[in-house]
Amino acid sequence: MQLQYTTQQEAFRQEVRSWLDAHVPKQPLPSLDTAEGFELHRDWERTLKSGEWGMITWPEDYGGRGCDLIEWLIFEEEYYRADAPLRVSQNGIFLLGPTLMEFGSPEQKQRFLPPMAAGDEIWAQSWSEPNAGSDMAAIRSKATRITEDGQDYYVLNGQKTWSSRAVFADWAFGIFRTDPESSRHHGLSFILYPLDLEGITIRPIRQLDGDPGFAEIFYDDVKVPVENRLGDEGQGWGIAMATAGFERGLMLRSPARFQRTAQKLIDLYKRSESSLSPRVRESVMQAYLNAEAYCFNTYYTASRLIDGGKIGAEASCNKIFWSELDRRMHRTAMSIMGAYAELSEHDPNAIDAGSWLDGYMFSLAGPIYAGSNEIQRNIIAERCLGLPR
Amino acid sequence: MKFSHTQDQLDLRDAARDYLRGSCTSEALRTLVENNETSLGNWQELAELGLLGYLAAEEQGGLAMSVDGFVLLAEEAGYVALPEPLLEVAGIALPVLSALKTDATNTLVENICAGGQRLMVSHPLNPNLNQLDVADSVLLLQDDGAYLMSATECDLRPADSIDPLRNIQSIKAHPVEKHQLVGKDKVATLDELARQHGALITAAELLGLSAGMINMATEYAKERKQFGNPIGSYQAVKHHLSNAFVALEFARPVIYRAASAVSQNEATAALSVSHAKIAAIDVATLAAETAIQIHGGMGYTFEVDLHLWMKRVWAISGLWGDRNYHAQRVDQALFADSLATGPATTFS
Repeated sequence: MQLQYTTQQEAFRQEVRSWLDAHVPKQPLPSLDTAEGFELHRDWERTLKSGEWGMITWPEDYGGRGCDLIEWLIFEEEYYRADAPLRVSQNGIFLLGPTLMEFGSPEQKQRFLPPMAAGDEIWAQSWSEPNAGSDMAAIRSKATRITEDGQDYYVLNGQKTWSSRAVFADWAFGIFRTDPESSRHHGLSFILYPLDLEGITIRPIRQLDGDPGFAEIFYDDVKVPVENRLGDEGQGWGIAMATAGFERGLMLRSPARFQRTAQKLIDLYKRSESSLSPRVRESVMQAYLNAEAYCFNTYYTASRLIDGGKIGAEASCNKIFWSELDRRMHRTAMSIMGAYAELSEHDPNAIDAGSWLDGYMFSLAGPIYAGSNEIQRNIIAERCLGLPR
Repeated sequence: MKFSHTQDQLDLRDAARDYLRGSCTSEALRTLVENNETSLGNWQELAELGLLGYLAAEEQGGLAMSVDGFVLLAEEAGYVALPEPLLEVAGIALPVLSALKTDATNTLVENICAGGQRLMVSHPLNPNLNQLDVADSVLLLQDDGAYLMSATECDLRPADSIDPLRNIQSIKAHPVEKHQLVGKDKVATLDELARQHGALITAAELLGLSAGMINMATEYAKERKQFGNPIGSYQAVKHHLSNAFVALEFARPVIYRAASAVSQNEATAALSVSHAKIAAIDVATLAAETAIQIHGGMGYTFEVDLHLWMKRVWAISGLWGDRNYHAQRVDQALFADSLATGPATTFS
């Protein structure tokens, strides 16, 4: 076991740190779920691109740097240490990107990956439907194949919901039923489409913080060229499951994010220590330990992947661990702030600019999105432990 | 940066696993309990496998492997609830003794590796010693020095553990000058070495016990039918087991990280070890409580094997510092000593 960074890795860290020191906005950006905030976050993605930091683990041909997972973790540590803005491109770079890398044609990779890494095309995801949430195989939105003037199209009809970023994003990906006779996870195809096509209506949904972080999407005879299908027709379910695996796996929620929160929680605790019970101190300590544990686990997994291992259903363990850790840390912060906890980010007296309340609200979504934790527990029981369905 | 074990470590782990799962079966343990015995009588075989000398230098008949590999053996010993004091002797007493490097201690290390002599550490953190035979030696760590005594020179009183496979005795010793290995000025280093190895190895054993109990409960849930189906097909049961599995997955790298810190003698090794012991106690407690719940009424009896594992967890959780002891050590580092925290501080 070799738990020291190499000289090269240390140098890489310094390079990231210096660049971020010089470029991270001094003031936090407005929420990326507002029109203004979204564009400012897009600008930040372009700034990242100017330093070639858009998506460092991708090959250079696709706008990356060809970094390995350890360098990725180092980059993330520096990113959160610098309190750099949230990645508005996350649906693209963390979910669709790796999916394209595995299932995309060379043309699709060349077409979609570089603008994704550059922030020029921001992606939304469109999985759920009103009657297909945890039971995603129940989706009914259709993609009907037609030929017009010698060109093959899919015509999309139906409705998606809880579509993150859809209000302001440029493109979306999702699965649609291409075989009308099919049911459940058969006969689905993975389709990429621009959100400004004729026949698409987007209705914003206000999230707990009041901003339209996701939306409903209605499709009324929306024509998409067949070339926009990822993988084979009817193979959408398997590809979508791979995307979900990327979402729960190593990339989306790296340990640095939670280590930063734990660090700030320790700081918050120390500022009000004298008035608090030992119980709170215990919770703060546990937050620190669990954030470290998540970090060890991630380096352990990353080392295994670098040696050619695969991450399977264990990704579900990650998702449960980080989502519960995040909720617990923010709950502890709320309890420390007492009567100040209700003050929103718009109130000048809010502790830490209202970020704990904001974070607490978001942490409540953690055990729900990317597949609810109950679904993850089923996956673990069946695939890691071998219990019967 | 490579957070993984070497192929040598994994190979030795696999060899130990095959041997232990083949010989320390639950049938063998049940027979011991029925006959009121606590030893499988396989000490020489453990020596021949190289497990006793895993941490000793080659010139002393050891394998010169490091403690970050030894925790893998401790997991395997825990997984089968091995009653022999393999971990106490080879994982805790031997590295402490080896640090002394005198002619007398070198000879003793060689004897330990060969399986001819056994040595246990007696430390103020632990009121009792397990499986101490009259032929064994005791390494006594006290404030005023470290002493080497034979078991017969100590005042031993039988104690009664809830774990039927632990043969424990309380110990009082009155060492004299001829027993002294080092004095007051040098005992602190040995003491810290013992505390770190003791808590770390115990944590790894708890990890193995947890894996054993989760496996046992999972197999039971596949077999046992109620309402016409295996109980493991019901979500309420699945989710209990998944929670224990997640806790185990996230405790394991904590123990591995601590083992690496101890083997590299890192400045923060004590803190890493305390984290490891806390994580191990938490997962073992959860795994034991989950496993008995899954077994239902059967889990509350001697009819199934679970009780042997569960009682081992209760018995060893408090050894080499209980949860409170280790939580206070972390608390001190975090709130009094201004430990650097946050991203980019973990491995530097």
